[in-house]
Amino acid sequence: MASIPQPQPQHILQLSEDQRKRFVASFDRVYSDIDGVLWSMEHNVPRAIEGYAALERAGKEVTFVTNNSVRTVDQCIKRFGRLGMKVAPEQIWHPAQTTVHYLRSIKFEGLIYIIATKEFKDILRAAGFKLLDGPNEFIEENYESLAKHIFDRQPVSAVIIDVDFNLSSAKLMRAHLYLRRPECILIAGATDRILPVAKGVNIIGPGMFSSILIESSGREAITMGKPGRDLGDMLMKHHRITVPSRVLMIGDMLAQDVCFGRRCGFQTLLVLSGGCTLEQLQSEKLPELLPDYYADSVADLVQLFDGETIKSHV
Amino acid sequence: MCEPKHIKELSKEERQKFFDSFDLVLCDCDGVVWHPFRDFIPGSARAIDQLQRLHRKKLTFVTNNSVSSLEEHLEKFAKQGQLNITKNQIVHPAQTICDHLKKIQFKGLIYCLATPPFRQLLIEAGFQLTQDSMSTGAKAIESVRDLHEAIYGGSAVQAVIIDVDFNLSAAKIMRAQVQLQNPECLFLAGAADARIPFGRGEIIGPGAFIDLVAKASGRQPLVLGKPGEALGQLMLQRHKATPAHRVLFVGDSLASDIAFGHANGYQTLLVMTAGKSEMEKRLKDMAKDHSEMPDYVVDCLGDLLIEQS
Repeated sequence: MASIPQPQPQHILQLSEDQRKRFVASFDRVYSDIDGVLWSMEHNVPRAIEGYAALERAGKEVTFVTNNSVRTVDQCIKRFGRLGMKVAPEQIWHPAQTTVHYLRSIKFEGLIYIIATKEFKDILRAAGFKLLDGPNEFIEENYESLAKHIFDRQPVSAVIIDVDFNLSSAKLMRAHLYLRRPECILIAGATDRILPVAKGVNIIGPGMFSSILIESSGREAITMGKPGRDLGDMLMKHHRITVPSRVLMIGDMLAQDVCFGRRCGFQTLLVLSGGCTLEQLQSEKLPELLPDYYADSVADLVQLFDGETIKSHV
Repeated sequence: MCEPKHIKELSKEERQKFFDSFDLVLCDCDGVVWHPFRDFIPGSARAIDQLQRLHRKKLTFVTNNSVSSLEEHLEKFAKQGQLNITKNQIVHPAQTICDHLKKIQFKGLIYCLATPPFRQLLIEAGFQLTQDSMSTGAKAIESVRDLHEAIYGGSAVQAVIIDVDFNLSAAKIMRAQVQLQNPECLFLAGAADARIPFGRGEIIGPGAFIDLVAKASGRQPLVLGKPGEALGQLMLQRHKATPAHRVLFVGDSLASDIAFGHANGYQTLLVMTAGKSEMEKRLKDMAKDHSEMPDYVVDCLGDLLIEQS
């Protein structure tokens, strides 16, 4: 049986006037990614903040949902400030914070083994959770020494994995051993398999490492970063969202932002200012990774709301 | 009778038939001949001796352990087992990789993620290894800039080799992946166990990390340790005279020994030295045609002994 072809993503500045009007009226809330949308590494996306100002003027609620726990909410707000944008702490969600939220929601009171950055760990500690980590030291090159570093009898009841620049095979081995306890849960933050860290520079993301844990332990991970459905459920509950299609997810990554939006039933807008090129978008075959709309950058939202569709725009 | 067959439960005739069904034994060492990195398992030295001298079987030991050198393996057989095993009876990932590099007349710089004895063997054979694959003195990575330096900082290499590296880090994995973007750069792997039997359970093995590099780089390594396809072909060349079904593969790992044996058409014998009850439970839950289902099981090699009058 032939499958029904999915409509191709449309550029938001190439919509007919009718489509444009319907689109701008079709959502009340925006979940937006940050990296690759507002800025990437040292570069700011030109006029991105004007796009958000347009959203605000149109009365859309904007919340930032990032997979990046490496910088703190404070640092993030300062950077928004430097761009001339006022963002409140509660408008920013990242995996460390959503993980805290989740642990509190299940009234978690146990020992946690964590593979993450210092910033991530600081947030969990500040929230009162007890953490174990490591090994961080050099391991003598024999199995006895390895065993000393990875076997631990402490009653760990949650393993958390996010980005860790000093991640090692020994840390994954240790995590896997804790997961042999049936009561030990596995929580993943960011699950990006590839992380664009600079133009043309992609590194292996935490998702490829957490996959090792998922496969070796035979466990499902509770995913508190995009595209985790668990994250979506939490956000929708928090914002009391009853009609997911009235949410627009904006982001630059097919596998994280678009996939997350589609899983949650949101509308999706891909911006080409970050980790995905037009070519990559056009060659994407998986329907679950195809956005409803795309734009060169969030700056295009200004024209969208002004109603001036520029025909020559490609 | 339930599958797989326990050698001790075979009748006298069945036992005879079993011993008549193979000419060559390919045998793992750690967890089979001796406790991993420790003493011989009682009965295993006599069983090996009987296989060689009484049953007249050819024996080759196929280990994934390059933490111990080939010489250390020979010495252990001689001293602890009073067994006369020769160098060409041991197949060892550092050696198979070194032989391969010699065969293809490899010249160039190697990024080698493996233990010191493994690296030493390649260096002594005249190959050039980068220093940054060593972990001693490696600094903790504090920032994206540090990470960038660790991944992109070193020299370009012409081969990436991955075996057991006790200090394998994300940065090393990423450096390997970046080097493998060059299609001319060789990708070789030794021990590729997805899991390693350890204590009474299993730990994540080097295969999981090799697989990660393969997926991230879109390259398939030539795997010259168990359960590599290339090792299977190497065994085939070495033992041309013996048809695969006349080979018995003996090991303690379902994924690295039993599945490897089946993939090559050998008969398989699982040795349940560690965590017997857990292993029996796993076998009970396993589908009969599963690639990890052994043909035979024993508690230890000593179960193969025939009491001589």
